[in-house]
This record gives sequence, C-alpha cells and structure tokens, in this order.
Amino acid sequence: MDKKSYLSYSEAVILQAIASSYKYGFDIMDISGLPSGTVYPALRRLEETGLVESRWEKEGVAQRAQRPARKYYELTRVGKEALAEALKRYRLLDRLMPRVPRSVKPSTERG
Amino acid sequence: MSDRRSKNILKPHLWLIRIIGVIVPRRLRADWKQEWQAELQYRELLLADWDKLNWKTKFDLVRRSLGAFWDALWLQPQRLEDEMFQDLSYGVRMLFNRPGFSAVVILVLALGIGATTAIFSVVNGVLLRPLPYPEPDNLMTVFFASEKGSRTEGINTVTGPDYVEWRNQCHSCAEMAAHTGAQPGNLTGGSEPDRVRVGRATGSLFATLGVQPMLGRAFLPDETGRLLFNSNSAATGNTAVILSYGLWQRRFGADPAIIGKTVKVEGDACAVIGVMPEGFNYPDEADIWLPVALNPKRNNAYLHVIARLQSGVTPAQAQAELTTIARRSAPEAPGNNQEPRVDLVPLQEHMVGNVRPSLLIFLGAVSFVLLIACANVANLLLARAATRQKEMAIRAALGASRLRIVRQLLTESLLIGLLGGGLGLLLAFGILNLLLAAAPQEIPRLNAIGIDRWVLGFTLLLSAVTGITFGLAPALQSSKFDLNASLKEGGAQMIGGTARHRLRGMLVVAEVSMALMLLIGAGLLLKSFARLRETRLGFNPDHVLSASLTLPDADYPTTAHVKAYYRQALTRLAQHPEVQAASIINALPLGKNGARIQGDLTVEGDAEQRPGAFATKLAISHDYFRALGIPLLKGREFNEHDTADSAGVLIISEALARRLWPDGDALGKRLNIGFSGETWREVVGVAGDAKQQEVGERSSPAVYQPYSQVLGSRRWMLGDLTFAIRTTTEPQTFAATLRSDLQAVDKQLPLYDVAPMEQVIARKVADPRFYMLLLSSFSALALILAAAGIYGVISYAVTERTHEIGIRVALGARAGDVLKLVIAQGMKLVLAGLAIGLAGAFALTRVLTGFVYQVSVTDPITFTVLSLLLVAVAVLACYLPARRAAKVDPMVALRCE
Repeated sequence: MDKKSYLSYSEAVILQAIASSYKYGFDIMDISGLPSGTVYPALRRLEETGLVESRWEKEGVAQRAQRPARKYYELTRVGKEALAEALKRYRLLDRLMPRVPRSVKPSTERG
Repeated sequence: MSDRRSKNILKPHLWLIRIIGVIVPRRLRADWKQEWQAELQYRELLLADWDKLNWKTKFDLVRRSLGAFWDALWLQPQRLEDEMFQDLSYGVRMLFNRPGFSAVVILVLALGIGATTAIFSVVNGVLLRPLPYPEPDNLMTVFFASEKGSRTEGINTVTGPDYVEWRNQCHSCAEMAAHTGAQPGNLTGGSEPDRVRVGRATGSLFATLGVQPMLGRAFLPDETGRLLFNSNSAATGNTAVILSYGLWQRRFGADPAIIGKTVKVEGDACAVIGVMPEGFNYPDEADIWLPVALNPKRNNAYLHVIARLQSGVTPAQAQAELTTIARRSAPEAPGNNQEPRVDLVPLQEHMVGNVRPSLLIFLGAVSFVLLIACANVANLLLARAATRQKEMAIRAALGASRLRIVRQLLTESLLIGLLGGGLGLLLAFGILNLLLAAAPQEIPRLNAIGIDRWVLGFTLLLSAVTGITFGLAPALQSSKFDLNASLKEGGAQMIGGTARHRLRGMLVVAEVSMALMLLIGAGLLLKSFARLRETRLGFNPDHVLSASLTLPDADYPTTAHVKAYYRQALTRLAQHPEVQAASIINALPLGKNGARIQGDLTVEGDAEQRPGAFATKLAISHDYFRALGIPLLKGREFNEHDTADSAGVLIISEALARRLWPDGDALGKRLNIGFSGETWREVVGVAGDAKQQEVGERSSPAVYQPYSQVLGSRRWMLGDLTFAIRTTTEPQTFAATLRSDLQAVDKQLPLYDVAPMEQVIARKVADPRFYMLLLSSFSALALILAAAGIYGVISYAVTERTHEIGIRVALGARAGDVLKLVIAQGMKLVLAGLAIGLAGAFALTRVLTGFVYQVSVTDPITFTVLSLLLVAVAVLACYLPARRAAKVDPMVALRCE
C-alpha cells in the first residue's frame, strides 16, 4: 500500500482521533481542532483510499433521541497500518489526545 | 413530528446543509445530508442537555455547517461517474469520429477566441489592471479645469507657486508631488555617451506613488535642480540623480556600490543617490530622475501635479478644497479673468484616457469576429445535427429524455468550445506578439500587457459561453423530432427541415451583416489613411536626413556658446559634396524633439491683440527652406548678413500672412514675436505652409527667425535642435559622416533620432496606420468566415435538394436555370444581411468620427464599394455549390432516394 506515504499531517491526526475512539465527524473536529471544511473532505479521501470505513449507528438509538442516525468511522486494517507508519514520522501524535473520549460514549450507541 | 419541523425553521445550520446539498452529486446526496444533519442535531441536543445552547454555540454550529460546502466541493469529482462524464466521453468519441469536421470547427473558434483574447489582454493591461502602486484608487492628477474649446483646453500643467500652495494647504491630500514629462537627455561619464529619458520631479514623487528607492534614498527638500527655461544659466546645476532599475542594470552592470558615484547628466556632475525598484518608470518611461526646480514665477506652467488623497476623502471633497485654495490666490495671477477651478482625475484614467476609445472600438470589432465564428460553428453543427437525427431518435427510443439529449449535445459543444479556447489561447500569444510589435510606442502602459490570470479566466469564460451560444440552438433543434418519422428509412431529411433552414438562414444573415459592418469600418479607416498619406505636407521629405542633438547647460552655458557650436557644425557639414543644404531648426516639422513653441504675436500699429495672431515660433539656419524644400513665395531667405547685430528679420508662413494681412503685402510689415525683451522685427519673406505638428492639421501658421538672432536670454530655445540635411545620395548613407563631423566638434554629445525625413512622417502616422491595419485584419477574417458560412449553407442546401433538382432537370430545366435557382436562394440571405449590415454601419461608424481624416463616417463610396465587394464574394460562395447542382444527373438524383 503506497497510499501510506501520501498521508498528510491532518489525515494522520484524523486517523489517530478515530483510533482513540473519536469516531464521529464532529468529535474528530473537537479533539483535533481542525475545521469542518478540512475534516470531512479528509474523511472522504481516507474512505476512498480504504483507510477508514463508515457505518450508521443503530436506528433505535437515533429514533429515541428524535434525530437521524449518525455515521461513524472506523479504521480498516490498512488504516491501522498507515497510522502506525505515520506515528513513526509524527512522533508526538499519540500523545496528542486522551485515549477515552470525555463527552461521548460511542460504545453504548454502536450496534 | 410537525413540532420538530417547525423548530427546524429557526435553525440556519440545517438550512445551510439543505442548500449546500444541492451541489452534492445526486447519488450521494441522501447519505450526505443525513450525516451532516445527524451530527448537527446530535450536537444541538447535547448542548441543550448541558444547558449550553446559547448564541455563541449556535454560531459555532453555523460555522461548522459552512464547512459542509468544502465537503460538497470535494465530492464533485464523483460526478465523473454521473451521466455528465458519460456525455463527455461520448463527446470525445464523436469528435474523433469525424476529425475533419472537428478540426474545422475548432480552428474557426480558435481564430475568433484567439483574436478576442489578444485584444482583451491589451484592454486588460492598459485599462483594467490597476496601476502598480499601493492603493492606486487614491492617486489623482490635479490641474486647473479649463472650459471646452478655450485656449487652455487640454493643457494640464501648473505653475510652481500653485503647486506649493496646494501642497502646503491641502488637507485632503496625504501626499502631493510635481513632475515634468520625461524628456530625452544626455548621460555621459564612464563609457559611451548615452541618450536617456529624464524625469524631473519633486522628492515627494516616490512617497506619493508609494514606491521607495530599492537602493539609497529619494531627493531631500533642499536638493533642487536646474531651473528649466532659465535665462540665468549661472544658477546651480543638478547635484543628485536617481536611476531606474533598467538603466542601473544596463549601463552600470547592477553595481551594488553605485550609490555615491558620480555621473554626468546634461553636463552636470550628479551623485547617484538612489536606484528605483524594477518596473518603476513613472512618468513616461523615465530612465533617470532629477529634482525639479520650482520656478517662483506664476507665468510658467510646466508642472504636472499628482496627489494621493487621504484615505476616506473623496475626489470631490479634495477638488472643492483645492478650488478654494486656488481662488484665495487668484487675484495675484495676472490676466486671469476667470475664477479658477481645480479638477481631479484619477491617475490611471489620466494616463490611458487617450487610448480608451480606440481600445473599446477594437474590443467591439473583435467581438463581432467572434460572433461570426460562433454563427459559423452553429451552422456546421446544425448541418451535422441533420445527419445525426437518426442517432438521436434511437437514443430517444431507448428512453433518453429530451433534456438528456440536449445535455449530451451541449456537452459536446462545450467540449468544442474549450478545445477552441485552448487553441485560441495559443493563437492569442502569437497575435499579441504581432500586436505589440506593430503598436505605436505612444500607447501608455504597454509593459503592463500580457496574458495573466484575468486573461486566462476571460478566455475560459469566453470558451464556455461561446460553446453554449453556438451549441444551444442546434441542440434544441435536433432534440425536437417525431420519433416515428425519424426512425423510418429516408424520413430523416424531411423532418424539422424548415425550422432548421430558417435558423441556418438567419445565422447567415447575421454573419453577413456583421461582416459588412466590420468591412465598412475598416474601409473608412483605410480611405482616411490614404487621404492622410496624400496630404500635401508643404515640404519635400525625399532625400532629407534628420538628427537631433541636445547641448547641455553645463558645457554650453550661454546662447553665444550654443550659436558658436552650430556655426561650426553647419560649416563642416556644408563642405561635403553630397550635401545640398545643411540646416538646423528648433522643432522639426512633424518631429518630436525640441522646444515647440506656439504663442501670440503682436502686429505693429495694432492697439490690441489681433485675432489669429498665433503661430508656431521657429528658429532656423538660413539654408533651412532649401533643405526641406519649402518654397519661398515672396521676399528673400535669411542669409549670413542676418546676425545678432543686424536688424531683426522674420519670415512668416503663407497661412499666417493671409491671416494677418488678408489683402495686403506682408513684406516690410513689422511683428513682435511675443517673448519678453523682444523688439519689432521686419517680415522679409513669406514661405509656403509646412505641416508642423500633425499631418492632419488644418492650418500651419509659423514664424521663422534666424537662429543667429535669437536673444541671449532665450538659450532654452536653442538647447535642443534638429539637423535637417538634404543630400544627393540616400540620406541614410550620410548618417555616419554626420556623426563623425559632429563628434569632431564635440565628442561628448550623443546624436539621437537619426532618421530620414520619410521615417519621421511614417512615425507620425503610426497610430492611424496601426488602427487601419488592425481593423482591416479583423474585417478580412470576418469576410472569410462569412463566405465560408454562405458556402456551407448553400452547399448543404444543394445536397438536400438534389432530388428536387433532379426532377427539375428531368422536366427540362437547363443548367443555367439550376444555377440561377441556387444562387438566388443564397443571395436572398445575403441581401437581407446586407440591408441590416448597412443600417448597422450607419449607426455604428459614428464611433469612428475621431479616427478618420477628411472622410465622412457615412461616406457613400465606401459603403457602396464594400457592399459590392461582399456581394461579389457571396456570389462566388454560392456559385461553387450551384455549379455542382447544375451538373446533377437526373437519373442518379432520382435513384438516390
């Protein structure tokens, strides 16, 4: 996968955020400090190159809260490899964000 | 549910997502919207739970939803898998399927787009691109307003005291500066003497424009230069000079230690105190700048004033303030019977004002060419649409909607447009180079012309718009058909035929009318130029060599020194056998150098100023009339006995003689030429009129005095002089001898503008010549395109009518009848176009009024001749297909069904 070598800093940050369980677009924005105009196009790019994949949360959870279902992102195997590769270049990346999210608990919402 | 919806109305972030969602490719849209809306709503609920939903966090939601726009933009390439991409790849295949057709169409478009792009890049560089100074909109030229038609109309120079008052008292202006127009001057010291353009300016010039020297500094207030037109030559000379980047590179090899070194400018030793950054050449492409000396007298207006307004001050406010200041000091100004009014014009407008009308005319003309090209391409596409009708019918039968077919066809024409635009851009580079090479050097801001991102954007837009323009009609036409009829064998040619014919006919009419308008415009300029060349100049430029020279104040401080130099030079020149007459004059007819003085004269015995006592004042050596071939009508020429000590004599031109003494004899009358310290001088001769400033000028009153009699106080009149030498050999071959002769007298003086008189005149008519050439090339292109259009339509019609013609021939029509039939069909269109074109030309050629000389813009001969030319070309274009029709073999034609 030579896609790894093209990983930009913001893409690496986003991968790291997802790896740290910040799986929703807005949570990634909050933790990375990147604007929405950067995060979403990057997510599309990462999904297209197969580094992340997206799923919809369970309808039931959303319906109870009277809102549409949210989409969350997960790293693929390739994505995990790419992140490991990127961590060698951006050494401080894994210290950038806390492992467990503060405000959201995606584990309860996931299906 | 409805409760939720009503709440949504108050949520701008959700609305934004809905709006932005429109540009997301349809395939992805639903998912895309849900993702964004879910995130936003989830966040909102969370904030509400935390009790943190205030205006600040709401604003943050809006800000985040704006990011969706970039997201949506990023998804655009996904459209490639949409129908659009299919259309595109299909379009490319169609282009390759018929390479000949595609090449013709693209080439025609490229010609139109290329010419338009080239002209637009000139308009962009000269008129649209802002001046290369910070906040260029605040830069103004300041001058006294003058009533239209008055003597001072067009004169926008100001006196020293005016400038000082304005500068000291005006609060609306952040900076103000005065400068003279750049004039040629001598740069000596070091290597060869050099001829450079010298700008004289106050030290504030650079601050006003907002440009600081790249090396060194600007002038200090106490660094003032030599007073121009000064009678007292003992005054201090120039001491400081600033160099332009170009000169610093060229002459001083970009010497980084140039500051403080000494160069000689006009004979004065000046220290180089600064070097300006690259590209700074204000005013008039100056090479060096000297400090300008402000003449304290109020009768000498020689300064151009520019100002930078305080930010926030409008030109009108500044104008009002400056007018008040000017009126306060008005009584001091003698001979000023009108309340002065100060005018402000944006600097850019002032610099390009003269060329604006001509550039806009050319932009208009070239867009006609582009429209003709579009009409031609539309015509070709219409013709092809007929042959593709079956293909369209099959697509429709397979379920393609009409919209889908129109879109397919539009995609194809857009593709053609863009390819044409690409090729056109390449052509534009070539055309622009030609244009710049041929353009008169007087066009301001020539160096700002180039193909920049604005031009590129313009070309892109132009290609897209033309693609849609010529594509829309054929696309709509060919998507409209009766499915059943089209699918039937042979039915294709009958359907939609009338409407398509009408459309094609209309396109030809439009082409012909536009081509005629261009032709007539070009014809008028051509005729005007011919008139200009035929104009009697009043002198004989054949075998005359001209060359100019400037005697620096420092080396030739007094009038006596100057006269001595010329006497020596003329004596030397006269010794060569090939010289018939060698002479000097302060301002050569139609030349650009020297002090050209025009002003009032006083006739002896007149109590007051006589109307029409106004002339160009010239100083000449006695062989001047022989050298230029100006006839002496009465009296005598000057001779060596007319010296500073003998009685003052004058020769006047015929026009002046007729004006001052309509029925009497001018000889023996006495005139005062209106300079201070002048006495009465006797008219000893009357010479023929010679055009002085413009080839097209109506009347050329002039008064000549021998240079030997120029008063000592008027050295400035003789500082710049031009030699005019009549030779028996080719004048150009004498240039070397002239140079060595003058070097022998003073080897420090560079001779400049050495050119045969013929060339001086050619330069003078360079503008009209350029305009004429440009418009002629446009109209030639238009004529060719229009002829091709006519040919295409008639030729296609003949093919369509083969069957009908076959029947006619079978029924006994002869070849001549068929020929007549076909040509008549074409000429109907041409004549309609001709009528519209003539009407259009009557209306439009009015814009050429200022550009023609001795030709009416509705000149009936031009109108007739060019209409006939167009008809002749059209007949030829119809004749070729008509001849083919006449050869139709009825058997073959009938069988081909």
